Amino acid sequence: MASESEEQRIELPNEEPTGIGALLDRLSLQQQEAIEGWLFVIPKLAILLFVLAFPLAFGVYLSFTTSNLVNLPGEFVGLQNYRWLIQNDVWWKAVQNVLLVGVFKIPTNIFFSFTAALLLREKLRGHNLYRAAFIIPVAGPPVIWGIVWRLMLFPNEGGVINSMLLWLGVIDQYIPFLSDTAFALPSVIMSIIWSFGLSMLIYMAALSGLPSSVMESAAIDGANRWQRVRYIIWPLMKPTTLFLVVIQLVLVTRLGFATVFVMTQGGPLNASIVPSYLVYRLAFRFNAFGQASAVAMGMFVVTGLLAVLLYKPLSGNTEYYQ
Amino acid sequence: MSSDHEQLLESPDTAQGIAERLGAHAYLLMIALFTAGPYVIMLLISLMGKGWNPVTPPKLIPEVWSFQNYLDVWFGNTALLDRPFIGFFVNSLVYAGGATLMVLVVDSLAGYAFARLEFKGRDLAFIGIVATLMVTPMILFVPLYSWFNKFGLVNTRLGIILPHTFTGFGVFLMRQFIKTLPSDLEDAALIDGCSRFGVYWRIVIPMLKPALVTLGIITFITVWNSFLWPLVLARDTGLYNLPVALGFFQGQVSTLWAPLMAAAAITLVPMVVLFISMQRYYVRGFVVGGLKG
Repeated sequence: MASESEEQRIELPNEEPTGIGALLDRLSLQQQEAIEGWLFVIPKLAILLFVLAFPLAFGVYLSFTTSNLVNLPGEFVGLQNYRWLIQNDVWWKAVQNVLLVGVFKIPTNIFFSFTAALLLREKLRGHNLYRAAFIIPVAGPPVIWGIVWRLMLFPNEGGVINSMLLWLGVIDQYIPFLSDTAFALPSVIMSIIWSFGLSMLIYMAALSGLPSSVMESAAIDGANRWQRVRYIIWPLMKPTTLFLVVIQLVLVTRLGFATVFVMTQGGPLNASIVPSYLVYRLAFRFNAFGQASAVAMGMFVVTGLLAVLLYKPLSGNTEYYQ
Repeated sequence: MSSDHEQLLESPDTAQGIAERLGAHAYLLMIALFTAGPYVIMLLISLMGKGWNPVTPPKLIPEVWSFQNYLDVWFGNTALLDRPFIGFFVNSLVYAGGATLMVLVVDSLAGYAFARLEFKGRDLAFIGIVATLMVTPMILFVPLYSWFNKFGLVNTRLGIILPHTFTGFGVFLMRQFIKTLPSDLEDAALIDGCSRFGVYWRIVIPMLKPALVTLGIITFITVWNSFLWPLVLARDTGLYNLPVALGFFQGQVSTLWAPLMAAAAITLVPMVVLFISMQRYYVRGFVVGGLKG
């Protein structure tokens, strides 16, 4: 269809082309289109090469060196940084922590966003206020979650959560949430599971696209409300759910940084360390760019492995959507 | 039943319906307490004229209601920061605005070519661009810092803007959206001798407006909220954006909580207003870009 109109274009020249146009007209149509195509794409590719591809390649090289801020790239040391990485308990702790964050973050995100989206469709009184309340955490910077939750989790006087738990009789003395190795990571997780607002909005958009005929026939067939949710709405939402899970997986590796940065700095005793913070600390606190790059590459491998492991279960049968 | 969708809860006229609604409210209220509660506390503390310190029981209601913290932060009259916060606000605007403009231009150009033009290597280039979604900032920030260091881009506004523009999401979104548009008008214009760029500029861009708004909002909010890139690339405190500048109020020894909360509100509130007023567009980007792809 496109080529048909292309040919007509040659037969009916409106005006004498000049400059680049004249140059292009001497080429065949395919060549013209190829040049035009690449011209449109080049700005993006240039940015990608400069900001992503070259630095990434440079990063791979750095991970084999002993680089620091003033000595870049430093001496080539082969696999030394990777040997260090594999034997490093902090690295494995960080991987374990980020996986734990994902294990808690993704199911809660799906649960809260799906249930909230279903209930908000009921147009309860104040549903717009609820929706706004659920959106606030995703609209603002993660740093601010971290700061307000640090305030909520104050270990002594002034900690709202400690005071509530004490008042309710759940605990009989203050818990130093962020400075206790047992509580630090759970506290970080606790603060980030509430940012499900975007997933909720996406579920709401998907739910409003559901064919009402399906729901009506289900109601006529005598499906009760639980059955309608469990056996009709939830399966119909599967493509949306998969999409959200994939987004979350991509986001989880980034999530921890700002929150951990302001809440715990990875501590105490690395109890709440995550890979992104480990990279930052190695590079900008300890000036060990080579080792930091090795950690980053290690995380690249872990992310890749996760993608390979989860590709099958996540990409399975989505054909029936639309 | 003429309602736009099947209700799940019983009608509010019945006792069962009332009970179910109460249950739904209880559940939603409990979640709202966790999602919005901390931000309500943030606002309350920001309005405490005499500052806030940890005491028992936690002080949540200001003794003196006042906007003094906001004025102090905005004009730079706090103990830990004597620089006007307005400067960081402007930085945030420049970074978010600059990155948004760049992304809109570059991604719509590429998206148009990927949607409409046939050329050798197109599919490979497209896969390469979409694959960038897999690269997270944490993998990139050390090499990028070193790399930018070589080009003198560390500690510059352009250097802070650039890393926010590499994602392939926008190209993907633009391509998906353009593919849903009818191409008759473009073909007619080409026959009439309009150049390829003329078609893009005069025909495609006007039809693309909704998608441009989506991508624009997503980019603007993401860059406004960005923490890692400005933290790493701005060595000079004058180049900090708002999220990084919040660190000024968290000193080594003590934190100035009331001014910190006012500064956080200054950072957060514009995005909440933008997000809530534009949520329709924001979501559409994800739905078009992700679900129907």
